[in-house]
Parts: sequence; C-alpha cells; structure tokens
Amino acid sequence: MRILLVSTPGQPGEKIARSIGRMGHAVDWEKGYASARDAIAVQDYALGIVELRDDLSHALGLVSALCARTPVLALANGARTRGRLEAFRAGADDCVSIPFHQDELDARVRALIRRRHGNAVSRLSLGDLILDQVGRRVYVKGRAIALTRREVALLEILLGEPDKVFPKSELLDQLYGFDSEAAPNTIELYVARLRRKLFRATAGIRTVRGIGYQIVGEIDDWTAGSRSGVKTAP
Amino acid sequence: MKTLLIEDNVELGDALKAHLLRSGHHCIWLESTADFDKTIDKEAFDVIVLDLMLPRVSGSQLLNSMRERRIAMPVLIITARSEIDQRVRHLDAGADDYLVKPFELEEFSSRLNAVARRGVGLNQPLVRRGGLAIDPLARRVFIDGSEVEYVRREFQILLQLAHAREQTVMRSALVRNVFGYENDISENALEIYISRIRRKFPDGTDVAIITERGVGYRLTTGNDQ
Repeated sequence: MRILLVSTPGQPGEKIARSIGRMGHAVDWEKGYASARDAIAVQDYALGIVELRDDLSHALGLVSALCARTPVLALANGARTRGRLEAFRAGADDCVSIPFHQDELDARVRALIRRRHGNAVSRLSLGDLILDQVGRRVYVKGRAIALTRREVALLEILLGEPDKVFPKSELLDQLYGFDSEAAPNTIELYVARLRRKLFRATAGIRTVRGIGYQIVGEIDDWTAGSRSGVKTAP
Repeated sequence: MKTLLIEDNVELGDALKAHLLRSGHHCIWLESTADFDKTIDKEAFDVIVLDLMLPRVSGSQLLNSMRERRIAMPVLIITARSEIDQRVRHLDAGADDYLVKPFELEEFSSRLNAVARRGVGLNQPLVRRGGLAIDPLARRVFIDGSEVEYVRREFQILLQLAHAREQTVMRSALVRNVFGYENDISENALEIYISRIRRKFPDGTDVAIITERGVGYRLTTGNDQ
C-alpha cells in the first residue's frame, strides 16, 4: 500500500519511512505542506502521516484536506494534550506525541490501514489463504509460504478488496512511490510468481483481459492452468 | 452515538458515563464482561470502551474472543498499563485505539469519536464546507477551528444545509426532515431556529445561511471548498 508521510527532513521522518518500508509499503515522503498538497491532488493513499510543526495552521489545514479521503495519523510536537486535541479537531483519526516508540506507531498504522476496508483484525483471508499483516506472512492451508516483501505487499492490496479488478497502473501506484522507476510489466512478473507460489490455495489471481487483475475465492480451471505456469489455450 | 463502556472502577465508570450522556450520547455501562454477550445481542453499539484489568474474564480476553467471533465493533482500550508491548499487543489483537489512564476527558472524547467514525459501516467522515466542519456522529460543530455548541434541532438543520452543499433547501423539506411529519410545527419555528444558528456563528466567519425568500435557506462558506 502507499502511504504519504509529511515531515521535515531528518528525524522522526527517517525512522518512520524506514519502518514503513520494512512493512512492505511504499512511502512518499513530502518535506513541505505545499508539496504534500500536490501529492494528494494526483495520488490516492492508504494512510497519511502528518507531523504537526511550528507552522500549525498549515499543518492542520493539510490534515483537514487529507482526512476527507484517507485516514490520517498526526504526530504532535510535545506531550501536551492540547496539541493532540487540535489534531483530532482538524479531523485526524489518531494522534501520537513526539517522541514516540516506533513499535507503537507501527501498530497504530496497521490498525488504521485495516479499518479502511472495515477489517477489525490485521489478518486478511480468502478461502484457505491467510495473510497475517502483523508478521507479514502468508499461509495456505495452514502452511507458511515463502514470499518476498513485495509479493506480500501485492497480495495484501488484492486481498484488501477481493473480486475487485485492479488495473495494472493502480497496483503499480500502490506498490511504488514517486521516486521509484518500476515498469508496468513488473506487475505481470509479480503476479506470475505469486500464482506459482500460491498454486495450492483455493483462492487465486485471475487476469481480466485488457484491464488488470483480481483475486477470487475459487479460481476456475482455465486460470488454474495459467497459474501453475502452464500455457493453456482459452 | 451509542457507547458500551466496560469498566470496573466505579468512580471512573460513573464519570465517563456522565460525560458521555452530557455530550448527548447514549451509554450502557457494565462493570464486568459477564453480561457482554447479552448486551450486544439486545442492542447495536457504535463503539466499545474497554478496560483491561477486569475481574474473571479480562478485557484482553474479551477483545480476543470478540475478534475471533468476528464481532467487528470498534474498540477503544482504556488502561493503566502503559508499557509499549501492551499497546502493540492490543492494537494488533484488534483494538482500534489505546489510551493510557489517567487521561483528560477531552482526549477521551476525541479518540472515542475518531474510533467510532472509522468503525464498520459507519464511515461518516467530518462534513466539511469551507470553514465549517460537522462531526455527524459526535454531534459537534467547528467553525473556523473553534467549537460552536448547537442544540439538537439546530444541529440537525445545520447538517441538512451542509449536506445540500450550496443548494437551497426548501423550507418544507427542512421542517419535515428535522421535525418529522407528526409534529405540528409552523415554519415560523424554523425561522427562529435559523436565527439562533446564525447568532452563534463567530464574528468574521465566511460561513453564513442565506434566506431565499419564499423558498428556503442555503449555506454559503466563502470560496475555499
């Protein structure tokens, strides 16, 4: 998933960006409020993390603009309650004070992201396929499957909305930040690998010709052929 | 907004319940987890406030069993346990927020509203029109960043006008939606409510209610939306 981080250069931005990257999400780190506004004009995010600095009215304005379309986690400067209340008043979904413990911030990020699709637990499942969003592990019929970070991230996006057809461009958008240069066929590559690794699952990724991909609870025969890597005529 | 409060400390439970009722919310308070199932079978709640250290079945156990049974109601944990691993563990077990005691009532309210807002199926973000922000669930109104208190009907009228964006809402529609059919209320009463709403607008704001004579009312908010 793609996350917008709005924070001055240095800490705590670096720590946050690194940690979110480790979770397998793409991060757009904007260092100013104006560039953050440009980013939200052209890109959808699964979450916005906004540091509230001296320039409080601009920061709160950004929180308000952002929270209309995506959950917002605000970082208030200092431990005083007032800063946090202002963030909530501007529409933030959660707020922690700086300094914070990175593990707690990560857990709050997970809590906000899962609620976006109405999930109450950090676990996505479809048929006998389970993705544990805390441990970033995938299980088929109770067995752990070895996937790379990106493969887990792609599967997480698909499983967030089963049956939805995701255009390749949207998947690419959600997997990579602005700075990354990934080609559209990267997605094809990842999908092919995921299919190979998940071939024992009842659920599977279906190609919707000319549009993109969707994950379905029960994959049909023809696609089953292509997901095991065997080319079969339709 | 309906809150289920589970807290065994009588003083705190009492204070929180009173606070919620004062804010115009509905609240059921349980001193233990024993009657949880019975209570949620009878009534739907927007949010659950859960203490961790409870007699017999603890808050942690209840949270786990809820989520295992796919009860997806939003949960705000309130607890004296401030350790990071406790926070992480409970957030990852399905809590939506975790607030450490002692806390200020205002922060409690803010977190409760935020948690309820993003809960299952509710998904009612703030209604924003220029400098006006309305939290439909918490029934709170902010104009140019400061809170303005409106009584129930004033609030409903304002929300209706906000939902209509800058369109004129017919007087008859407002009366019907706010007062209902059965209420024998004249359109003069509506005018009184409108003037009360206007009086509470802070000085210098761009938020205003325009009277369209013989037709109805519409909200304007300047141009920054």
